[in-house]
Amino acid sequence: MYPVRRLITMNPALPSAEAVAVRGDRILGVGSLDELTRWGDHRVDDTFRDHVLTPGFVEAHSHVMSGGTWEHVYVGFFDRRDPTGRVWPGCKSIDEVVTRLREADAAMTDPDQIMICWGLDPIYLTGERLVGRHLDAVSERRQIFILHASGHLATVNSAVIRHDNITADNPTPGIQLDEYGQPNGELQEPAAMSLASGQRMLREGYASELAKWNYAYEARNAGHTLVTDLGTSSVDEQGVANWSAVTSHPDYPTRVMVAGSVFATALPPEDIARRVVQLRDNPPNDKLRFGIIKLIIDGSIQGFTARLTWPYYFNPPAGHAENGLWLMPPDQVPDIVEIFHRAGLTVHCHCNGDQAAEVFISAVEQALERHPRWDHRHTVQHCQLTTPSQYARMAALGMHANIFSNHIFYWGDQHAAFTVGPERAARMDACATAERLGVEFSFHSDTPVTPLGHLHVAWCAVNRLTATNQVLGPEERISVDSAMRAATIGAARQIKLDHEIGSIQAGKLADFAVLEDDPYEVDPTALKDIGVWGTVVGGRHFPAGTG
Amino acid sequence: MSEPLVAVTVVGGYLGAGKTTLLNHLLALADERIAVLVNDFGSLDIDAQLLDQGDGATITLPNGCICCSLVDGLATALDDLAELDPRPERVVIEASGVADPAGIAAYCHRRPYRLDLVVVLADVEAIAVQVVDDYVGETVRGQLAAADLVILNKADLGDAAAAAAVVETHAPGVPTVKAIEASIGPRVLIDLEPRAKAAAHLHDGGVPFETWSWSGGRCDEERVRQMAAELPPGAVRAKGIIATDDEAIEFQRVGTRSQFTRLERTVDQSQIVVIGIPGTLDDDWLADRLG
Ligand SMILES: [Zn+2]
Ligand SMILES: [Zn+2]
Repeated sequence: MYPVRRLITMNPALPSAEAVAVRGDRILGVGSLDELTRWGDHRVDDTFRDHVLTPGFVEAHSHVMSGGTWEHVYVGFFDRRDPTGRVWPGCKSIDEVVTRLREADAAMTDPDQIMICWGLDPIYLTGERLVGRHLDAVSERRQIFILHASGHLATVNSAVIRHDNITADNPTPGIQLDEYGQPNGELQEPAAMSLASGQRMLREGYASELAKWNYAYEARNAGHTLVTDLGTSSVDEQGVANWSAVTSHPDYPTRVMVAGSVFATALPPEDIARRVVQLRDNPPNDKLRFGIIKLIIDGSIQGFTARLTWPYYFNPPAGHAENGLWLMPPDQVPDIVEIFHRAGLTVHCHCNGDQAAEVFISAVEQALERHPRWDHRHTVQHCQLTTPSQYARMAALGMHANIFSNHIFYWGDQHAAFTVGPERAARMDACATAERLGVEFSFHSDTPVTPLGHLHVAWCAVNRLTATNQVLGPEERISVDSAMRAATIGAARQIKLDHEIGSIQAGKLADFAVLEDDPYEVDPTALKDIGVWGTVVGGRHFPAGTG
Repeated sequence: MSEPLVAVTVVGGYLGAGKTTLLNHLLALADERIAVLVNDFGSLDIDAQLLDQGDGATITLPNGCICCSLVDGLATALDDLAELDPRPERVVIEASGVADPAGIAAYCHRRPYRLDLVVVLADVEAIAVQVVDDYVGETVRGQLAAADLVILNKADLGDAAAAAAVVETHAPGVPTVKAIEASIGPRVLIDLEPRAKAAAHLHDGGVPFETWSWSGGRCDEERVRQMAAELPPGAVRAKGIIATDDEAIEFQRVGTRSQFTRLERTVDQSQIVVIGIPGTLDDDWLADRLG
C-alpha cells in the first residue's frame, strides 16, 4: 500500500486520491489509506510518500533503434542523458568533437575495432566543416564513422576510405571530394553512406539485445511503462523470439508493444496478419504485446518528402521536387488496409502530409463499406497536416489520431519559414481540433527522431513553443488535463490495451509514472522540467538512472 | 584478375506496367545465375521454377524504408547476396510501383556490383494519365527520367506512338521500345553478347532491333568517348574493346551511361557494336567517327 503526495488516476469517477494498494502485479484499490486498509493484511510502503503518481506513460509511436545508439560515441551539440542516467555534455566545437573521439579511442582496447559515433550536427558548429582529415588526427589506423544527427550524412576518416575502397571515380551519388579531387570523408545520403562498413554495423546494432535493454532504460527514465516498436522489428519467429527473450527477464523495466509491419517483415501481408492475431491472443509474456499493424505511406515534412495537397511546399530548397514521395503506391493502400482490417487488427499508418492522410482515411472508409466492423481504432500516425475536414471524417469513421507534437519545438520554426509556411504551420499537429471534432488522440516522440518522454511531448501540446520560443498556432494548444489523458489512457486506447493499462483503478496492471512534482500544479511551461523518479511496472519499482 | 563484377538490372515502373512479366521473361531468357530482389508487397508471382533452373535465389526486401531512412535494407540485401557461394552473375531488382529507380541504382556501385540496366516499363494505355495524376504524376515522371530504357508495354492495346511522345516529354533522350507482354530481346535486355538459354528465341521480341558495328586496329579512348556522346537516343546499348598502344579498354554503354574499364592485357584489334531501333544509325556512322 502506497501513500503518496497525490495519485492522478485518469479514472473520471475518481480523478485523484491519496493512496493506491497493489497486490501482485495488479492494482487492488485506490482511495484513502483508511479505505484501503479494509482489504485486510497489508504493508505500508513509504517510498512514494512525497511523489506524485500518474498512470505509467504510454508511447504509442516509438522505435527500438533509439536504444541502439548508446552503444556508440555521442558527439551531438546538446547535452544528452544516456540510459544509465549519465549526462554527456554537448560538443560545442570541432575541437570538442575531436577530444571526445580521442577519449573514446583511448578507451578502446582493440586498435582495429571500428569506432562509430552519432549525433553530429554541423549546423551548430561554427568555423570550418568537420571532414575526414580532422578524424585522421584521432587515428590513422582505426576506422572512424560519424553518423550525423539528420541520419542523412556520415563523415569518415581515411582508414574507412581505404578499407572500403571508396574512390573518386565510384559513380555512387554523394561521395564528396576535396580540392584535389579525392574523397574528403563526407558521404551524403544512405546510398553513399552504405559504402562504409560502419553503416552496416549501425543497422545491425539497432536490432541487438543491448539496444532493447537500453530502450527500456530510456523508457523507465522518462516515466514510460509501455513503449511501442512501431514497425522496426520483424514479427517472424526469430524477431518475436528476440523480443521475448529480453522482455521475459524480470528486470526488464518496461512493457513493449511490437507492431507487425510489411516494411520490416519479409512475409506476405496475409501471413503477417495471421501471426499478429495469434500473438495478440497468446502474448509471449505479460510485457510483450501485439495486435497492431504499422504502414508507412509518405516521407517527412522536414525532409520535403511528405505528400501534401496543393499548394504543396512553401519554400523548398532549389531543385527540389514539387511534392514528396510515396513509400507505397496509393492505389495499393486500400488493398493492404483491407487485409489487416478483415483480420480484426488495428492499422497504424504513418501519414505526415494531408494527401497521405487522405489516402489512408479513404482506404479505411472503403474497408468499412465492404467489411463493416466496430471498434477498429485505425490510427493516423503523425497526423501532422491533417485538415479539420479530415478529422471530421476520422471521427465519423471511428478512427484515432496519434499526433507528432514534438515537431512544434524541434522543427516548428522551420515549418513556418520553409516547409509549409506560417498558416499551415499554425494548424500543424492539431490536438485541439482533434479534441473539438471528437477524434480520440494521443501524441508521440517517434524516438529516435526526437527524444523519448511524454512530459516533453505534453509540454509541446500545451504550450506550442518553438526552439526560438515563439508560440506556433495558439488556437491548437490543449489543456494540461487533455495532455495527461493523451499521454496515458489516450495512447492505451489506440493500441487496445486500455482495459489493462492507462489509468489507475482496481483490477488494472500496477504501472505508474513516479514524478517529483504535480503536472496540474506546476506552471504549464515547466511541464517538461518535472523530475522523474522512475516507474513502477507490474508492481515492481524501477528507479531511473540505474542498470 | 579479380572476380568478374555482378551485373545489376533494375526494373521500375508504376503498378500494372508489367514489371513482374518482364522479370519472368528475363529469367526465361538468360542463361545466367540470377538472384532476384523484390521490393514490393504482394508481388510474389515470380516463376520460381525458372529461378531454380538457374541456381538463383530470391529475396523479398522488406520495403526497406523506415520513418527517417535509418534502415536501408537494399544495401544489406546486396551485401548478403554477394556472400552467396556460388555468387550470382546477375541481380535483378524489381522496384516497388512508387520507387525511384535512380535511388535504387545509387546502391548498385558497391563491390562486387556494376549497374547494368535501369529499365522502366510504361503501360501504353495508362501512361498519359499517370504522368499528370495529382497523386502519382511526379513519381511516374521521375521513374521515366531515371531510365536507361523505357519499354512501352502492352503496345497492342493502345497508341504506342502517343505513349512514346509522353515519355519523350518527361524523359527527353531516353530510348523507348515497344513490347507486348514485356517481351524484348536478350541483346537489349541482357547483353550485346547474351548468354541466352538454348530454348529461348534469340529474336528481338515485339520489335526487331538492328545492330551496327565497326572494327579496326588501334583506336584511342577519346574518339570512343566522343562517339558515345553523339549516339542518338535510338541506340540502346553499345559495347566493345578499344586497342590502344599500351592497353586494352573495355567499353560498355547503356542508355546514356558509359563505362570504360582498363583490362590488364593488350589486344591488336578494336571493335565496337551498337544495338538500337532500326534506322537510328547507318553503316558509315561508326566508321566516320572511329575509322
Ligand atoms: Zn516512426
Ligand atoms: Zn513515421
